[in-house]
Amino acid sequence: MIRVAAVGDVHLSRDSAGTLRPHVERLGELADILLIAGDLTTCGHPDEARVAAGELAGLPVPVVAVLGNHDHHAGREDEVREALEDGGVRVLEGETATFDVDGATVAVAGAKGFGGGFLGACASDFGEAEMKAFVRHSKEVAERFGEALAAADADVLIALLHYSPVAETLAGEPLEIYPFLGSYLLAEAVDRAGADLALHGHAHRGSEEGTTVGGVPVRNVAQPVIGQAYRVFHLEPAGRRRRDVSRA
Amino acid sequence: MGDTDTHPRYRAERLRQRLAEDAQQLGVDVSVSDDEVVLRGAVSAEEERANAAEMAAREFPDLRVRNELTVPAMDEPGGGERLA
Repeated sequence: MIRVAAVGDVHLSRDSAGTLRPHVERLGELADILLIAGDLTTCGHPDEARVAAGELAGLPVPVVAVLGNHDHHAGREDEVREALEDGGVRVLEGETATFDVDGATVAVAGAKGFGGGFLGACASDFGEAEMKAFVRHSKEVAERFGEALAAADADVLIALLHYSPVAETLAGEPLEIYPFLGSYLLAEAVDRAGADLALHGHAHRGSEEGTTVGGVPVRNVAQPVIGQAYRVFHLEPAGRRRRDVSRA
Repeated sequence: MGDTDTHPRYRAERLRQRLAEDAQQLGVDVSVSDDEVVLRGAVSAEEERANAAEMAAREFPDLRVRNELTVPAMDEPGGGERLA
């Protein structure tokens, strides 16, 4: 059994040192890996990322993250990534990280993702240059994410995102902003790869549980949604297709 | 024929995107069931209505195409709206 801890949207600031650490001290007893679904920082300043890295340093499990929109806000996402990685956090953007857990391989394919909308109600690559740039970014991010998923070769495959792949986990957010909270292209990539679990954050007023069209469980682990320091999911490595997920 | 390696609902969305991006028809809803694909909404001309059905048939060659697209009437107004 693989035990996956996950949280997103912790939004640490320069003054946050010591606020997260006490809540992850037992993590090594409960989980084999910690996944962070973006927005580790408030404004995307490298100093905030250094605080986040300090809070996560020395945990007894691998820590893997994707960046969120807040982590991009200052336009210094490369420095944010560097600060996190200096602290031992593996940051993924269209990439895959693979780990051995009790003789099983666990692959995490990660990307920030982007908006665009969902089945039957998404933006088109049409019209103003700004609109086309928005949609094209969504497509490019999803394509890289899909490539990362396809490249994974493991007993358990987890998709880690900041933006949502499905509308279901946005329930509670205003409908008007759904197209800014995620894209169905991410779910299509998850389904094509037959991932075991997809995790995301970003939607603070959303809902926790959803499923892709192809039946992959989706969980919104944004900290305001889960109301805990993190969630733990138990996954059974049982072949490379459709496995059950149960929440601890 | 479309990408059959993905779920029909994703293919339906892809068709909706192509109708917007390639045929400049942004008001079309596409829904798909086991035996038919249904097009709803308004397009700008009869030719676009027929073109949309052809695109749907190419994407879903095994399904019946139900074309419920409409072309809005273009009658001249009989008068004006009186505002205050």
